[in-house]
Amino acid sequence: MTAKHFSNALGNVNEKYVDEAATYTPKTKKKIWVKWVSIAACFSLIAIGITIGSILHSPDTTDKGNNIASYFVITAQAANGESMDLSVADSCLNSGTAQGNIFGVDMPTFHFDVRPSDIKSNEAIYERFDISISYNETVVEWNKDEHIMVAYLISTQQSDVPWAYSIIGWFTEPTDVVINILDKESRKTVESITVNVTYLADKQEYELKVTDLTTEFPKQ
Amino acid sequence: MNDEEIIELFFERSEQAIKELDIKYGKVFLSLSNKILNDELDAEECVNDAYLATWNAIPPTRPNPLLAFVCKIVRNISLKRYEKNTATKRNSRYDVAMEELEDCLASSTTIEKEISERELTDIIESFLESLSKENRVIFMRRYWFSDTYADIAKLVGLTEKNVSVRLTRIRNDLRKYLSEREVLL
Repeated sequence: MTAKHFSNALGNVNEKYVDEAATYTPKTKKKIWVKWVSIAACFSLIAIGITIGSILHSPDTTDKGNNIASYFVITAQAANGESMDLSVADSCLNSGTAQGNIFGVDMPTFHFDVRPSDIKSNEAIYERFDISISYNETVVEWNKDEHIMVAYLISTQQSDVPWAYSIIGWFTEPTDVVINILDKESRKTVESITVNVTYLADKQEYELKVTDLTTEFPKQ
Repeated sequence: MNDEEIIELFFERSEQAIKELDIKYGKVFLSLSNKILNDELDAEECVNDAYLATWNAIPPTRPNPLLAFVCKIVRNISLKRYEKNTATKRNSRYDVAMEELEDCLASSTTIEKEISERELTDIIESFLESLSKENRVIFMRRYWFSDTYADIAKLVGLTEKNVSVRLTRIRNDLRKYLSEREVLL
């Protein structure tokens, strides 16, 4: 079969498919994809691992920072720290430097920069970055020498440092990641989300599949 | 003016119908034709021819949706012009999109089931139904409208790379789908 043969047949498909594509507008999302720049090159896997352990597996941790986890985020980042795509609430569109103190655990400082023009058009602009992510469906893809970071964003309730990451982990191998969502008062797990990080060997890509994703965090 | 009102103007044989159609969708038609032809003048001529064809078709046809109906006419006329032009140039977005499909559709053997265009259209429609809405739109925008990855990325709110990856996967799925139905052997 030739492409021309196919193209001719495609040209005769029902007009509903043409109309659907001609009039398509993406769903309005609660969360908007934005680009964060120049962050976390210095993140240490070991330190993060310790942090994660402290955050997720210590229900009795004291909330020294008076933080409230607000939004759940799955995100990914190149290991070289060039970029980050993530989902954030409208209210946290901002730029600057943030350093989180999450559930009593200090987080690394990072810089973020959200360009309003990108947000307004609901269009993240990517330049030379290698990773991208879709919310609630697919996908993180990146070069094989990069890492994927799974994290969620929380509000610190502090005017100078309003938002910070709670990082679940960095992954370079296929794995299942269980994300425990803690009740903000009791710090006990109220919900778990399984994230499958799989490796597509033939394409040298990773795929992050999120099952049972909760948009509001924590679940009330 | 909404589509129904424009169609009513066609039924009244008012030339205002063409003007209103052009005001509302002219850019879409021109863009579609230009992506196939890569020539603005040719594209303008094709769109004008499409308006004439629409004028001749309505009435008796009462298209719903109007946009898709005229888009089809624009595409068909543009492809005919494209075929006429291809002896001298092959550099349109349509060419690029078709080259992608050639790779996907090329049979590894010379044995290939003869299939009518109508049968193939039915199979393509059933394949489109198997896709998610977003992937269906991505596929149609690429291979029906000849959109670039950047155009599609902007439309659906993904990165160009993500669009590229998705299209690769969709083409692989398409190839598998066609093979399972013995369209490709």
